[in-house]
Amino acid sequence: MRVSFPHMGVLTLGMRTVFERLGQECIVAPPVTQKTIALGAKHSPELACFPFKATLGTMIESLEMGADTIVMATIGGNCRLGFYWPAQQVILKSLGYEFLMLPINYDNPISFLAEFKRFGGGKSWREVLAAFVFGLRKLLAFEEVERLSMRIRAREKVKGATTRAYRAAIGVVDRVREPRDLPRARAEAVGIMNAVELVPGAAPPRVKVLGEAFMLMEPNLNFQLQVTLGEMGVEVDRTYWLGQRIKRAVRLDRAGRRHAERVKREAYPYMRYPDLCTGSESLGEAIVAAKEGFDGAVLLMPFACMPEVLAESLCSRVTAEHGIPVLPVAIDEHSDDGGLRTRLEAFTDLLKMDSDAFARVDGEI
Amino acid sequence: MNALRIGIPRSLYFHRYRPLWVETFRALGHEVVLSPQTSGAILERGLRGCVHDVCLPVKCAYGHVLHLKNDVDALFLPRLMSLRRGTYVCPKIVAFPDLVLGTMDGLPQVLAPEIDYRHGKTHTDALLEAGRALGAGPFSSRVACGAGLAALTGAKPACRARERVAATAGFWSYLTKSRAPSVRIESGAEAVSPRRPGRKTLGVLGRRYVLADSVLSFDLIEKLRRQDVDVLTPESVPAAVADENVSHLPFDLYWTLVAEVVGVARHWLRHSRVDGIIFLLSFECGPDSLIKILLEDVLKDFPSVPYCPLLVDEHAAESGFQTRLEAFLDIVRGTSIASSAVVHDATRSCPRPSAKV
Repeated sequence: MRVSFPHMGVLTLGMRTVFERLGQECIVAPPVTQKTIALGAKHSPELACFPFKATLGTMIESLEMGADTIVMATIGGNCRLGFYWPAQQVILKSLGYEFLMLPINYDNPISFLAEFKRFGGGKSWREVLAAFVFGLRKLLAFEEVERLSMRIRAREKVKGATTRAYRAAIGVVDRVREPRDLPRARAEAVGIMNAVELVPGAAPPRVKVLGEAFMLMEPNLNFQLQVTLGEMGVEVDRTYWLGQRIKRAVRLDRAGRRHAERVKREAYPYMRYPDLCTGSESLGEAIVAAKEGFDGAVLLMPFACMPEVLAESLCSRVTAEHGIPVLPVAIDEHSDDGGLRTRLEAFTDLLKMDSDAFARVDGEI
Repeated sequence: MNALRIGIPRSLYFHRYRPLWVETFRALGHEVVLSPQTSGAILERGLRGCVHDVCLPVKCAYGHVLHLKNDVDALFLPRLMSLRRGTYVCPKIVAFPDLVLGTMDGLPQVLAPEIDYRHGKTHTDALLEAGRALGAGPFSSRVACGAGLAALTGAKPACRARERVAATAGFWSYLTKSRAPSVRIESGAEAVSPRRPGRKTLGVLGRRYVLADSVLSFDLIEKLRRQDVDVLTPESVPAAVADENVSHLPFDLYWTLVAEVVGVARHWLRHSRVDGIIFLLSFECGPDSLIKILLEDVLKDFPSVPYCPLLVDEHAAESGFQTRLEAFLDIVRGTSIASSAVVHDATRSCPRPSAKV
């Protein structure tokens, strides 16, 4: 079986680990580029959402490279994501590809353990579970490194040092082949990040990046937004970490669950629908960010994402009532880097000014 | 308890639950005020006032609320989270009351009880909550709700479906406070008249709140009838039949409209009930954008039946719509050079000269 999957940030590396341990050949598609997106957009209906087109593009590239199984995320919530894989399967079959589509629901890890077992090539439950746990631990380590990089980039003394350290640290964790080597590799990776020289006494503005999961996780779709903000001197944190989500889904992340409950509570006066994927969550996270002293928030979403559009419509009220400026950024296949950069520069300038002077920067790319 | 003016906008799920909602509030002793039929002016107000990236029907509904809000003492905007166990309602409709509450000024009292069949919050519970919020006692609320259910049961259908509510379950549940779904709309036997010779029958797929709205649908059904074409709509197919026709799909169909579009189409095609299919899509409809793909997958098994997707957006001009419709009718009637061809994605639209109607 030659397995492939759409890119979603560091998830690609975690998934590859799992499938390699299950003895399946893993085909990693090329990174998402404008060409990938255009390819997906060509075969998608115009009004389909952006992640649909991007993932379809990656799938076509994987199938061209000889993959015969595609693993795709799905969801039990109230947005279009649950319809991605059936619709993509129809499109790809009509293009003549023969393959198997394997949907997995990250909010229900038990169900996808069963899928892994089915395609584990005769491996026992114990081995499947071990592979899954190994992949998850690696994913958590990758995310920890990424989180650190987003925090320190704004304070780096030498421009680009953080990115170089990030690549080295990711490499260290990626090279681990045995679970017992992972704690040491993780410590080494964190050490590499902490060794980046920082400007002493720097206090950059802090921005929370929230919004739709896929756009938050995949840097090639959001024009490296989190890195760009860091280079503009802003410390960034984001709300969606897939490893943490999976951990929370298997009830191993009590702090995460408490945070999720708090977010739901805060969002209730505005939107009380936890089923709407990350819609209500975005509002709740913005309010929690305001209470935790963040200076601003960026609401990142695919163009016309239904839950996020509803959150966007209410975020001016959140700004008025909680004092945190929110920049909505809607991205689709027609967006370009320059427009986004300009808006981010304007937003960071506002944040760096006196706090009385902020205003919400409106519009789309 | 004074008689209040309760406003209900004539949009979205009102078209399906009108007798239930209107009769319940009337039985409580209040005056029910409906917004008028959608007009160009109402649509314009909605387009200007509402957030941009939502679908056209929601913007139209926003316009209806804007029209009503100053004339009434209270607005009934239920939070429709789920109308059938195991399914969701489209997100934009779910959060529509919150959209109104969060972005509209000058609102009267808003009654927005939750209806969520996934968690046992039934229609009856929501109406009782609304009644109590208006000051009615528990017993009179229940009696009023019963009147509403009776109106929904006995109401002559406005369209071709024969809908029978599980009425006994409804009455019993409101008498005994049971958590069973009290309003489950089940269609009766399919209302199929034999196909008349010499006349064409077209199946029109689309949302009820679009097809029932003459402005949003450009009066499609009336236009077809005036052209001597018989029209079948999704309501004419019982829910059980539609569900059975999508039961082969191997994934969780959490929106009922999959059955309403794909299941209905498959049923019509398998039993040769239609000479052509029109799918009326709204611009920016999230679910439709992907369900379209599933529908076209079903349609490719029946290549001899012409199919026309028509996209309606706020910039569409009626003349363009009319032209495409006539071209499709020519194909259906076989009077076109391209016989039984498929009219491909007719999504280009012309600018609207003026919206005033």
